[in-house]
Amino acid sequence: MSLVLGIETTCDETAASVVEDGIKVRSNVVRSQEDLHSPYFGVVPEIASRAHVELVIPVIRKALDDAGVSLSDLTAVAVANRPGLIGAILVGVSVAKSLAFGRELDLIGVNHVEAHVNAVRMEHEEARTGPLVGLVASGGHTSLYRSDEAILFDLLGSTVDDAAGEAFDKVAKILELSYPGGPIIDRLARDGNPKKYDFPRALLGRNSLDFSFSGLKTSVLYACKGMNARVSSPLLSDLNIGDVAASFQTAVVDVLVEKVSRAVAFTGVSRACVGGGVACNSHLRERLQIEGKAKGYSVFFPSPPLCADNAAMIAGLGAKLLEAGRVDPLTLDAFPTAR
Amino acid sequence: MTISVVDYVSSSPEETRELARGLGRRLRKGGVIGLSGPLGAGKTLFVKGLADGLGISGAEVRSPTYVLMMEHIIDPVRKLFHLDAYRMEGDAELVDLGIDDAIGHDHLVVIEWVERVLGALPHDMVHIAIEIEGIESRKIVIRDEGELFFPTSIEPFPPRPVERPNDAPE
Repeated sequence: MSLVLGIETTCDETAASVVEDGIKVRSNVVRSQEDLHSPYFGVVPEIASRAHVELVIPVIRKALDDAGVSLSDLTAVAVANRPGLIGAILVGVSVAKSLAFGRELDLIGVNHVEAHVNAVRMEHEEARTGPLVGLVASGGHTSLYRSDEAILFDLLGSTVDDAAGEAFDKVAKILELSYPGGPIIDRLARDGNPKKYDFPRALLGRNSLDFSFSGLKTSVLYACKGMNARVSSPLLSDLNIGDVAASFQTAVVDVLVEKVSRAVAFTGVSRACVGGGVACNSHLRERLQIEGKAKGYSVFFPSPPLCADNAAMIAGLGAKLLEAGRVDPLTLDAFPTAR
Repeated sequence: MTISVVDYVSSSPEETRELARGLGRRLRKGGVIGLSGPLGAGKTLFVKGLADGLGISGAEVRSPTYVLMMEHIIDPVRKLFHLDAYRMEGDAELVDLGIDDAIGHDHLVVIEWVERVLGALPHDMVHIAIEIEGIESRKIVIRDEGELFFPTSIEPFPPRPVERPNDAPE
């Protein structure tokens, strides 16, 4: 039996988790920093870095307590060491190295974005082995993978400008809504007319598996504030916010669904999954299930606790890497980009 | 020292990227470039063009709003640091990111939403302000206080006066 402690500090969340045999989540502690950030409308990095330092030890302690284990029970410690904000990642990596050194545990560096795909394998037995097309869509990432086995990832495409979750947050800002924008837009869109605005769907050519959401964001800006965006929100009060939210969300979902279907068609893989915070979007879930049925592929989503940034997915992928002997030395580095 | 201030009007995103590419190609040394302009002005697009001109694939340049800082390798001794201050509340946060280690070498440091963190930056930098003029057109004002692009003895590139397109809204 393996018992892996996972640590996640690549962006806004300080998280730790204990996972048994790469599958069974014994504990999953996420100390969301949203309550620290929302007064500032957005995430404040200085607070984020400081909060990681202050929170990481209590969060690890709680993860061990919740799992009913102590440090001496652990097999290994896995840490997300790429990609993300270097200063934030270094907090998690430093703690992981200290634990590995002090307790003679195996140390495993994990790619945060790939771990989002593995979250699906952990929860769905039908998706545990064999090829998967994996879309990861969050505030910082929008990437499409082919994953033939748990630890194998081929990047098929990614955003060339803004991430999907970032588009949700920036549109929420344009609409003068609060942070984070995803859940609010999802809710407002339910009462809106998705055909009111014909926002652009950037598909980047018929064979592209890349994404672009920058132009969509700009189109929403023009729809809300007029063509001359120098004038501050003259039209916003006359708008039906629900219509804007529904039209925008449908445009994003159209693109994500189309790219997943393309990836399935290009690779011949018949199972797809979505991870990352945007995977919580109700419209995306509905539409992908319908599309999958129509085109003959099955679709898997993680449960909400494993959609958003969390450490269980880090521990889970760490356990798989450990099984394959992919252990890192204590010189493990942190990287701002995936490599 | 004479400060070069050059104005352009770009009529499309492609033209904006091409202008930035030309600037990237004529970059004379390392330093700091600050970009300002509203959401949707084309700041990230401009950085893509700069990267094109520096011989980095512009496709690698993405919005750093969430990750705050992205690094790109120009050559074995120079990097492009692409930062975004959209989520920052002040100068201290830029310092926190280790900005001082990047400035002063041959690295190029490009910062979007620069107006939020000006206090942490040197005076001899380039300011690029992008204003939305119409759906596609942008006014781009480049104020080169560090002679990164325009040594005072050389004519600006391309030597083009400000022209207002006819379709620009009031």
